[in-house]
Order: sequence, then structure tokens, then C-alpha cells
Amino acid sequence: MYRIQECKTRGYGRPVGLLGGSFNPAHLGHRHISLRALHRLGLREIWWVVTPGNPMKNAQELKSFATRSVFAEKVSDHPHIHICHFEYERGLVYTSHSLMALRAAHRDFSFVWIMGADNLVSFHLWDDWRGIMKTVPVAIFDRPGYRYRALSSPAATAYRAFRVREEEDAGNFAFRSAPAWSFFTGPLNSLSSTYLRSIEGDGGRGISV
Amino acid sequence: MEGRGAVGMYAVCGAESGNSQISEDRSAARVYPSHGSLSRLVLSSLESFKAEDIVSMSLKGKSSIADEVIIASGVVARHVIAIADQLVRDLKRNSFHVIGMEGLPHGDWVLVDAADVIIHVFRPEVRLFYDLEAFWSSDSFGP
Repeated sequence: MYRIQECKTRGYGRPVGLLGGSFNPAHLGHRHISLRALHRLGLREIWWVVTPGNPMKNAQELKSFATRSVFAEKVSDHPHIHICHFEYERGLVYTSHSLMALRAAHRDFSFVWIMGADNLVSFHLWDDWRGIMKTVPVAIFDRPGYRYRALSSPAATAYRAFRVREEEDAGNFAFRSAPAWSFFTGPLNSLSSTYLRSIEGDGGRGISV
Repeated sequence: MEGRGAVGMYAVCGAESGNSQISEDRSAARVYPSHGSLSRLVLSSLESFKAEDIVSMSLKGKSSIADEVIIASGVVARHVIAIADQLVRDLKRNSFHVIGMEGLPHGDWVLVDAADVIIHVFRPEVRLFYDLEAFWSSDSFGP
């Protein structure tokens, strides 16, 4: 009874995409996947969920949260991309916990978890990864060189029955009931991938600007 | 070569290279003896197209994303794009794998991912704005 109620309330909430990571540092690839998600999935906002990090694990590698989030603000530079301090404020390190907390804190939103294809390859190693799959729809965006490893990964294989075929208009993806995941291809980066392919074997003539 | 500070920055400012056809980077090996062949190739390529304020930052022991980050400037957007264009050509000609690029067609900031080395080419004002060097030089994990 409660689950049905929950689905009805959540069904048409504000569609928000969540891009998690260390953002150490943020870069144009993060921005690029965010813009792709905004457009393909009809999302209103993308939140860059900056992990506080695990002090035991990455003390040496990880810059301070302040440094990373300030830099992420600069790089995101878009009215619909927001830097999310949710995990930092609550000391949340695992996505599985963060998603449940985010959903509880924002009951009128419909979240989509966004990842690059490279993340899907090792997604089965994440804490309670099956819980994540059962909590929110997951949108995976192709990255050069990772497509086949991603689609043959343990996570993709385990949830193959819940894969949604890529559609031209995926504007309702955020409202799908979990588990639901989709792999989005299309121009990886309209100019970059075409350009990179064009100079395979040194056949290209360079970019005319 | 970890010259200055914890990050090991090694600054090279726009030295001339007579030959833009990088087939054997012997001259690069003389100028950058402590760098691996990939980063020597990158540095030579950047110089061959007159990239400015080339900075190489070692990430060894600091981050697992790459061994090295190299940052350079182009004078205007068209220059930034030409530098990145030539860099990718040189990498491919020498059988190095280019994982991807970001930032085209704008030419404010172009990122070339060559796996072990990540190269950022900026217009000068954009480089100042993002200040990647400050990011990598800042303190690690803390409040």
C-alpha cells in the first residue's frame, strides 16, 4: 500500500539528474555529460554531488572539499547545473545511502542517477549497487573506448532485463520506476569524436575554424 | 623531476622547436631528460605550435587519474584549437592513444586525454579564471 502511494506521489516530480564523483578536479567532461543529460532526458537540473571522500582511503589524493566544490562551480558554469553539498554536510560516502537520503529530503523530485560508461564497468563493486538500481532510474552515457566493456559488465548483465532501449525522446526517463536503466549513445561530443575519427590514419585535414 | 614544492612543477616558457614533424624526439629528450617519451612528445608538440607558458605537473603519488598534467596557453581561440589539433595529430602519428578531447569548438579550454598525461590548453584569460595550477597545488584532504 505504501509503495503504491509513493510511486504516485513521485511519478511526476521535478526531474533532477545526479552526477556523483570526487570532482578532483571537475573538468569539461563532467560538464559535457551534464549537458547531454539535460537535453536527452528533459531534466530541469543537474546536481554535481561532490563526495566528501574517505579520509582513510584518499587522504593524499583528494583535494579539500572546499577546493573541489569551488572549482566545480567555475567549471559547471550553467544555470541548471548546481554543486550539491548534500553528502559533505551529512558525511555520506556511499551513493546507496545518499540516494535514499536525497529522496527522503526531496519527495517532490524525480531523481535520475547519471554515470559515464566507464563507471558502469565497475559499478558492481559499489556498496549496495543493487539497492541503487532498485531506487532510481540510471542513465549511462557512452564514453569513447568503454562502450563494450560497459554493456558486458556484471551490473549490465545482472540487470539486462531492466534495460530500456534508447529512444529518440527520453524526456520521461526520470519518471520510470526503478529498476530501469538506459545506455545513451549519440554524438559523444559533436566535434571532438568526429574530429578524432577524421584523423585516423592521418587522413584528415585539420579543423577549419 | 620534482623541482619545486610538493606538486613538482616544472615550467617551460615557449622555447622554439625547429621541426614540427615529431618523428624522433631526440631534441625533446635533451630538453626534458626526466620526462617519459609521451610527455616529451607532448611538450615538443606544444612548443612546435608556439604554445605559451607550458607547465608540467607530476601527479605521481598525488592522484591516480594520470601521471602528469600539462597546461599550456594559446593566444586566441583559433591558436588554442590549432595547438590541440597538432597535439592530437602528433600523438596519433606516434601511436599514442588519445582517449578523448573536450572543449571544441569553442577554443576557450581544450582538454586532451592521453591517459598517462592529460593536457589542458587554455586562452590566457580562461586559464587565469580556472587556475588549475592552484587547484593541484592546494592542500589535500582537509576541512
